[in-house]
Amino acid sequence: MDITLLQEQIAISRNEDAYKRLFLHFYKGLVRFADTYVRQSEVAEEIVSDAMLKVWTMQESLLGVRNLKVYLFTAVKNAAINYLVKNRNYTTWDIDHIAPETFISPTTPEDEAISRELKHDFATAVRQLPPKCQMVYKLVREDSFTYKEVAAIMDISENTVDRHLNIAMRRLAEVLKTHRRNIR
Amino acid sequence: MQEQRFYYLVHQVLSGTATEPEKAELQRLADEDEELRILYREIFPAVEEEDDNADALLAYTAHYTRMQIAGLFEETPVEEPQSSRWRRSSLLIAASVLVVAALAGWWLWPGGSVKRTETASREVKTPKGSQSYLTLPDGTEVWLNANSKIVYDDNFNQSDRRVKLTGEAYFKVAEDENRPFIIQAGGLKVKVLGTVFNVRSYPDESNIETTLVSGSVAITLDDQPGNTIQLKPGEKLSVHNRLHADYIATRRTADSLDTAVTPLLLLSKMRVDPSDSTLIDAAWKEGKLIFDGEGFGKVASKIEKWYNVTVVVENEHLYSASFTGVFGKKPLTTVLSTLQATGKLTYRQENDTVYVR
Repeated sequence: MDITLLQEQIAISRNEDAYKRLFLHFYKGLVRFADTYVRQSEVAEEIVSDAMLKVWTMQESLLGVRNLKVYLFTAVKNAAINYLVKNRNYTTWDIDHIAPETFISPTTPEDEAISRELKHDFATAVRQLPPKCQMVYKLVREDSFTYKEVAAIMDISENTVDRHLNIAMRRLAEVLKTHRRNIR
Repeated sequence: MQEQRFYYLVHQVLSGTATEPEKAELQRLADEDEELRILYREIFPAVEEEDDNADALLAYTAHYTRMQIAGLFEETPVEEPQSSRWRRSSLLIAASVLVVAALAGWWLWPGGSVKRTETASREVKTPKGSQSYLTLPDGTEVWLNANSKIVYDDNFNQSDRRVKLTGEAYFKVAEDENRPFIIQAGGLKVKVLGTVFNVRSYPDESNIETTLVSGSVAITLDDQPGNTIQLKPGEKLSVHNRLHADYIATRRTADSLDTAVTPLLLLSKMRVDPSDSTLIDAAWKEGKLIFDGEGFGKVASKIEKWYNVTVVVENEHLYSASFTGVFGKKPLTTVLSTLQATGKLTYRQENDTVYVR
């Protein structure tokens, strides 16, 4: 999908069809991302709707957005944090400790017990990663972001993104190793 | 050392530097080793199936509705503040003023009055400060809140059941699958088969709210008959009325996402009063005046209708304060002095006017 082209069609020709395609393209990923912060799907959906509405109302200034994907994810993240700050009911709370709760899990009907177990172990390993590491892993994995994009959204350096991913890979490798040792 | 190679390739793909042959190699490694394949799927979850898009499409319908109501998808200039639905509803009110009084026998509460108009339509009206209960010819029960009006034709109950509502009413619709029950309120239609719900649509308030208690209702907005929003029990739909004006006021092009924009169309969960599990949206029907975290604008509007007084707000800042409280059949002074006790406001009353600052 050529996002830049859609951007032009929306900004200049006010093309509703292009807008719809853009919405459908980003919707699920954005809602999932917002939901990792606010943990309420209705709120997450509303935040995404606000962000998408903004895209339309920006008119020509939409052309000034260089990476719309990063722009949308950042906008959603900021709105989600604003929401949390406004609505928090608890006293202490650290933005760096927010970790995604839901991961897409690959399911295949023919899975055998052994692969189910291994899959479960992988999922557990991911859940035990540090929160920020999980977030980076999730963004790269589920929304196919580049390092650069993740760095922009999470406000960290590309090196840090790489480090987080290496930690995740190492953990997964260990799980596999233990698993192989146990069957033999 | 297939595994080392596997991790190297995964790293290449994730960092976006993998070449096509490297991608193919990774795929091949995953295909050859069952456990690596499981790991591969963990890292690269399969592309979502087609039907997953249904959610996004559904969300787009709601979003589209919101954009339309906001006037964003129209060619008409946004400067036109009066939408046609207002002109239509004021005509309706004008028409029902030309009324030939003829009281039918079925109204029950002294607060309600039934009139017969020249256009062979019946109307039930409650003044400020009172409520009424009535049964329609099909057996549907209606509780009509203060300052509200319900109008229906003589041919009600023939092919369908249509009523027009101004104000707020709680409906317990008699079940009849062959004759849909349709309520026209403000700029929207609510269509039901057999169900219990509340509609609030006062011309002087900015929202039209529909709360569904049980059954199912479908809501369409007059300006876009193609889009239908289906409510599930426990859900409430608020449609913002003063769209154009509000929208222009909040329109900005700043880069930060502005979350303070008034929601134009908001689907939310209905609130239940935990003390006795009554529905907050329908509590008025049990004689309870409830403020549920509402801004003073709505609080004032509710007080005006409930007690038939005029509230004059002398302090603009009050509009940003919110109030929560439940009053069961209390005199106005009790409500006002309780609000005063919050320390957020003071009031004085002169005859039928309450001044608040």
